[in-house]
Amino acid sequence: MLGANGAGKTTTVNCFLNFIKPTSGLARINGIDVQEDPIGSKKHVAYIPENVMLYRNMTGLENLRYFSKLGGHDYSADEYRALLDRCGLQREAVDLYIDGYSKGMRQKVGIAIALAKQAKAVLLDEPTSGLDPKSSNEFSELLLELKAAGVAILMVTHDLFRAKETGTRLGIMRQGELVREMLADEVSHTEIEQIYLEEMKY
Amino acid sequence: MLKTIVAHEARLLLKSRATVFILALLVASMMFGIWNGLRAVERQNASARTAIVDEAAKKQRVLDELIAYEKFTAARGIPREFAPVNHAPPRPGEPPQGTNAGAVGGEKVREVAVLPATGLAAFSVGQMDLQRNYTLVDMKNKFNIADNLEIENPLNLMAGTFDLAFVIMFILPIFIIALTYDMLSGEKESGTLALAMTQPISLRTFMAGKLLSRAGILMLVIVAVGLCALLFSGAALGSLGDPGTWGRFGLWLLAVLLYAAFWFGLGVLVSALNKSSETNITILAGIWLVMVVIMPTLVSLTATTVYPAPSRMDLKVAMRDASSAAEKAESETTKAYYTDHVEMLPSKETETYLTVFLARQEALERAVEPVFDNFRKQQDRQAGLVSRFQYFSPAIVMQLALNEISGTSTERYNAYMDEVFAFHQEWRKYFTPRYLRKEILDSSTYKDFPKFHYTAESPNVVVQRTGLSLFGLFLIVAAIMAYSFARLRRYGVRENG
Repeated sequence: MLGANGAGKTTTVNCFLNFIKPTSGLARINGIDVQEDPIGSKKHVAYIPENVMLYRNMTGLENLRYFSKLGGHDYSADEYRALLDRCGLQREAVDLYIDGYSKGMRQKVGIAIALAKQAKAVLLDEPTSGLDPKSSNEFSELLLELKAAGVAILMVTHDLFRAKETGTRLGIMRQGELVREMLADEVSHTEIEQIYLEEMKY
Repeated sequence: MLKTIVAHEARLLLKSRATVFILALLVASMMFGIWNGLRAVERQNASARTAIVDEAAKKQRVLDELIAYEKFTAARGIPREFAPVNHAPPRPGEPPQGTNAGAVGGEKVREVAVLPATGLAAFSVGQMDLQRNYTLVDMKNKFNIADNLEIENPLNLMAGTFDLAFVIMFILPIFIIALTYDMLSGEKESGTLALAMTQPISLRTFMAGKLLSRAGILMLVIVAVGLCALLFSGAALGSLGDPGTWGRFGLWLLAVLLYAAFWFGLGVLVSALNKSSETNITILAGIWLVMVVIMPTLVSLTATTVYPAPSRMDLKVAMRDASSAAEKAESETTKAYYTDHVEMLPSKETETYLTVFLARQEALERAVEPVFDNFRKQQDRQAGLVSRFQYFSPAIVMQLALNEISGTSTERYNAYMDEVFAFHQEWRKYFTPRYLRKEILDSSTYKDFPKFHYTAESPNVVVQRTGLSLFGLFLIVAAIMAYSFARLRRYGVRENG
């Protein structure tokens, strides 16, 4: 999902998370109305914000375990370590306090939390903003893995390139409305940029 | 799920230096409070013991004199005589004052009527500084013997002593505020709330976990320190074997739990309002100031202003007036003079001295009774007003309950004074007829003098006096919790209230 700042992208995500009550309309996850059954709907959705914030005086592993348990899944310590490994977190960082983590490292724990939940849908709010190109690339790889596994992904981003690379459908929002939709396969990078700029002219 | 949250929160709390510091400070202040309270109780017990020893020694001196006289008369085979009142020591062979029931019961021998401290007395000093725990009973008028009754006794709700009750009332809420003010706002501000709330748990479960972990840790500390305090003070006072002590301790725990729950409830309420941490702490500090400092003072002030108790001065003036009226009534001025200077009386007239004295005591009592009655009534009205207004501030509920539970309340003291007055009558009934009959007291009768036995209030009385207000507090807590948790439904994770 693309759009200028203030277009309503994050608001849309918040509606799916039941953090904001929609003034009209419905948000459904896996067929469940999020307002009617917020807890039921949250079983099926994982969320990675732009800035993953974790408990500071706990280690990465402890954070992952806690949020995973809240999500209803518990694993062995080895499984948690393997998961963090898969998300690209340096092994020596796993048992360090979050205080010493960079934004990218926290983001990786956030991804691990989302994966641990085994959710059918993932909401991403500018997840790669501020990540270095390598981390960003690794992140895209993970997204493609999830996509292949049949997970529905809604990603808010300003990165037109990565949107085309990982996405199936692209949408552009303006002033709270979805004004344009296209299939990623049918447009080129330059075309996307052109369409985007065109829409922003109004 | 709740267990996961509670365990997580407890770990975070115990890892936080601030929490550990707060808990350590709470433990230290509770310890200091109980030490202070114990000192006050021991001081009181010591002064009662001294009084008992002093009075026993006085009685023994009178008895020794009497025994010597009995031996003297028996050896010579002369009859024993009844001694007229005389302040000068008897010459050899003369009957001592110990033979005269009026002199013995009137001033020579006094019974020490002790109000024993309860096993929990060290937990709340209450009015201990103002109310002496023993009374010296003789045949003087009851207001004279009740000199320990501080008639200008203010409803001293602003506890002056740093005792355990003070720690519970004043300091515990501050610690609870520190533990709860940012339960949600803190997580919201640090960003972790959003991630937690994307998990399939309700905000109410989340809050319940936070609340239970905090309340659990705090109550664990209070129970542990309270138990230590009980063992410490109970061992010092020798009251651990008494089941009543443990009953009172149970009630104490219940009261403290309810009071803590009230402040936890406010923490939840303020969290549910969805404001910033700074706003929360300002609101809570304001509530603390009003509930703990301003309201008790205001209620106490209202009570003493609306129903002012007659001052000690009124009582003294009434006694003096009655005294001079009694003096005037005695037709001969010399008689009045001699009642004060009895040693100058010719021996025949000394026999009437005590009669006059006793009559005057009764006249005094009659004259002062209305003033005293008025005092008691005003005191009751004050207490009534305070108990009606107590629901404006749980601190007042707590003060009253803690005093009651520790046995340092005004009600228990008044009940004790009534027992003393009843005993005073018994004392008089024993000595007056013997004196009027001019019975020569025998040394063997000295052990039969009336003894004061304090009838302890039954545990039911304590439960009755505290039950209603504690139940009221429970209802207030339940209402706050119910409202707060209902309000959490409307809590916007992304919005501000």
